[in-house]
Amino acid sequence: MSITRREFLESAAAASALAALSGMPTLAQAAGGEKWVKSVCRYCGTGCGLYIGVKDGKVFAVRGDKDNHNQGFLCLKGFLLPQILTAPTRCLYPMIRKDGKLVRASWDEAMSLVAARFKEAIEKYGPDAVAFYGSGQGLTEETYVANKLFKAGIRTNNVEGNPRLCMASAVGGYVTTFGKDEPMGCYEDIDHADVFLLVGSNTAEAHPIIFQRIVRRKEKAPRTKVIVLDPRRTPTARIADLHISFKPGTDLAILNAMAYVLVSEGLVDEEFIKSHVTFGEGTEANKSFEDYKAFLAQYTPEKAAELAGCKAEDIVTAARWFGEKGKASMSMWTMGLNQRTKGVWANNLVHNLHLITGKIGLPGSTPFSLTGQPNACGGVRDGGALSHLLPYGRLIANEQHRKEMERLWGVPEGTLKPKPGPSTVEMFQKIEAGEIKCLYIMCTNPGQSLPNVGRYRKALQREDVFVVVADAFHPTRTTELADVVLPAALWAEKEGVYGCSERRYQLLEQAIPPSGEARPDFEILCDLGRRLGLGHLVPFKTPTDVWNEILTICKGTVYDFSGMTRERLRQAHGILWPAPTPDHPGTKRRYVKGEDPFVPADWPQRVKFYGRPDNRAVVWLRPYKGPEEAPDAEYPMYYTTGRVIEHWHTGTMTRTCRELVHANAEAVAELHPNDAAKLGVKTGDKVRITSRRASEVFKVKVTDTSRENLVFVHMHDDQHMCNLVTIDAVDPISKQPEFKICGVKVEKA
Amino acid sequence: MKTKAFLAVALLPLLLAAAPPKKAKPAHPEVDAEEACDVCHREVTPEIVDAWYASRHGLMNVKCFVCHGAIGPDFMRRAPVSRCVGCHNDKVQSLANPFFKGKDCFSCHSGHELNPHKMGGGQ
Repeated sequence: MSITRREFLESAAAASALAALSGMPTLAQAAGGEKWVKSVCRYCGTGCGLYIGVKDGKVFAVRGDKDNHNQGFLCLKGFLLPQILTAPTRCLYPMIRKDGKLVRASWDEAMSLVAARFKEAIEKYGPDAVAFYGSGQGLTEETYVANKLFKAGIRTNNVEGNPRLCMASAVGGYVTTFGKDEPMGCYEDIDHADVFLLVGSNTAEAHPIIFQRIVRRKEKAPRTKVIVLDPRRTPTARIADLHISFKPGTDLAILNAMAYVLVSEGLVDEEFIKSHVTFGEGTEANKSFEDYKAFLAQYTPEKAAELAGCKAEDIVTAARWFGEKGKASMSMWTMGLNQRTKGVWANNLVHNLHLITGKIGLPGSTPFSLTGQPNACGGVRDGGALSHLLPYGRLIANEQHRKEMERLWGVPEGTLKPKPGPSTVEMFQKIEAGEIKCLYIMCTNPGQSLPNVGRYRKALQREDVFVVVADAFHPTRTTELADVVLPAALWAEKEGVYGCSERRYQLLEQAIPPSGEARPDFEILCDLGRRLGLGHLVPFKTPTDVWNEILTICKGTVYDFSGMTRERLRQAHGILWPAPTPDHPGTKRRYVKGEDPFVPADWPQRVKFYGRPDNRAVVWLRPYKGPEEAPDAEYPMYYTTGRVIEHWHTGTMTRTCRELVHANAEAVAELHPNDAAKLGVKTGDKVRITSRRASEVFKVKVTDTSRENLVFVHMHDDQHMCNLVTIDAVDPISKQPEFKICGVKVEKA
Repeated sequence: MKTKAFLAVALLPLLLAAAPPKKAKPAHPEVDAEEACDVCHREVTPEIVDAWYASRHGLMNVKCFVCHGAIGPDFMRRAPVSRCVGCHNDKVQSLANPFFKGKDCFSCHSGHELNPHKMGGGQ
């Protein structure tokens, strides 16, 4: 069928009129008992806007929000979201462990037990005998209540969360280079970029809607170059103009070699460096551009290529494309850089490329960290719900910050403890050592997601450790270890704010009542607060009450989003902070004059890196260092883990969807054909993968997308847990574990 | 079991082709493998997998089950437009245009290439 443009437009207008007359459902207008409730996807950190279709009190569909950044698109997981609400594994009532088994209990019985055990531990051993472990999946209000309750109420800094496993090195990178956390760019930069440097990110599977936007940019501007740095030839590499496969852990050398090429070929912006950049080594910004040049001399492309097992000319090409004058270059990365013992350094080296070329703070030129969880940025990073942080850029170790928070929270001076608490791995080691007696886990699954997880599962099973898990699902590999399981409301069943990778805060409205006896996490936490005699600190009746308090906490910080009133968020399709007044439109690009409200209008230059005292970002001299546990004679292969598009994190949600349970449900070990031949295995056979920590059996998938001497295992399968094998060594700055690399031996099983 | 399932999958196109339209609902046989659809279909219907892989859906990893549903009784040989609304709601709404009477998305976007509109950004 073929129609002319005029015919189409005329008939579209007629259809519009007809729809209006006939009451056909539109996004803004419910019909036939349906309503469409504005929300955000529950899965990754892209934060796609969507509408939830509700009929007869049940969610029957979702539709992408055309007015949001995702332009109406959802990935396959997002499209299937309604099914998670009615999964047979929904946790519908409280349970307490009796005689070794979890049995149904009333809310009062369960909460009385939790409060009694927490009180007992605090009285007997002090406040540091209890701990909270949350995640980037909780709503901002929920995480805020937990943070306040534990730090200002119970008076312990034992507050951690999954973002330590996920984003801590990105935070460390931004803070050390720019003085402040969070990306300065936005998704819209994708539409302006001429060159994409995707490093340590399988964007196509982990952030599909961002990948789609890159594809659309490439379609619109065919000269756009995509460089993919990844040991595996992932689906992301389908759009690569240059894919560089390298030995895991050698990317620091490659990134320094790219800088070497940029400097030696004059592809740097001397004026930008002179005005906005300083140089540093270790923790001091006390070096010069000349020192940096001398440092880079050891990173010739040839030397880096030899270390990395790639081609020197590819490194040169990548650098030339990235640095070409007049072109906008955007880098993106995620766990491939972050989950490393040198994760912060790797982040610094990406920032270096932008700073020496001046490709930053311009449309399409920005270093952009992609986030794995939907509210890791908004709830945990920004909200300060880690053991060394206080809300909105404040630090536990900073006396002024503590005093400020004590004033804002209305607690006596000296309430907040000055010593940062343990990071996640350290916290679970304190549980293992018997120092932490009670743990409250909210909305996450450390019994599957921690590195070297077998060790910490044993810790959680200690007789003298009391574990509370609030989750929407049961059983999970964490609820099975719990002494009390509290049924939490899920996604569409509650209201709150998510903040995604680009500083976009969005309100998820409640669409349906909670299932069974489930309650929103913020209500459970307020209940716990009251039972601990701390109700005055968490007097909230609704999430809006919490949000209104949060607006007073962010005011005056560089995050200032006090202009994002609840009503404004209800109307908007997300707003990017800072947005310090109700009429401020939000900020696409931080540090940029004319866009960021904290850069004075009369500032003489186009950017001001105001996070640093001297307003200069730091180019760090970070030497190459390999992984903590490189392969050796005993454990000769590289082991790495990651996502597939069908599943998310530990699979508690996606593995309940009919379509997804058949699709890549079982974690497989991907092997290069040459390795498979050496082992004498083919697709469908089984291999035993053994590290210094544990071994696990996986089904084999032979694929030439893998790199030789590398085995890649999916992370979502609760029955074949990749994290039994991973290493729990951490980055000394960010304390993020090196999930991405360890040495293993692989044998036919 | 796996062999039986594979044979059933292999015969599926013939079964579907032979099935009279609008009578018995074509169902994808249950398979005991927890694998991606294209693992089997690359062998049994390679032309379909190739067409999908080369399409925009293939590039974006919009996989078979997004349109066709789960295997077993939920399988849909011809995707209903309700499977399109997740991403293409505005286009689905435009089907109310009398010009498209009796048509659905696949009347124009045929096969597994599903070529996008040239006009309007190619959603």
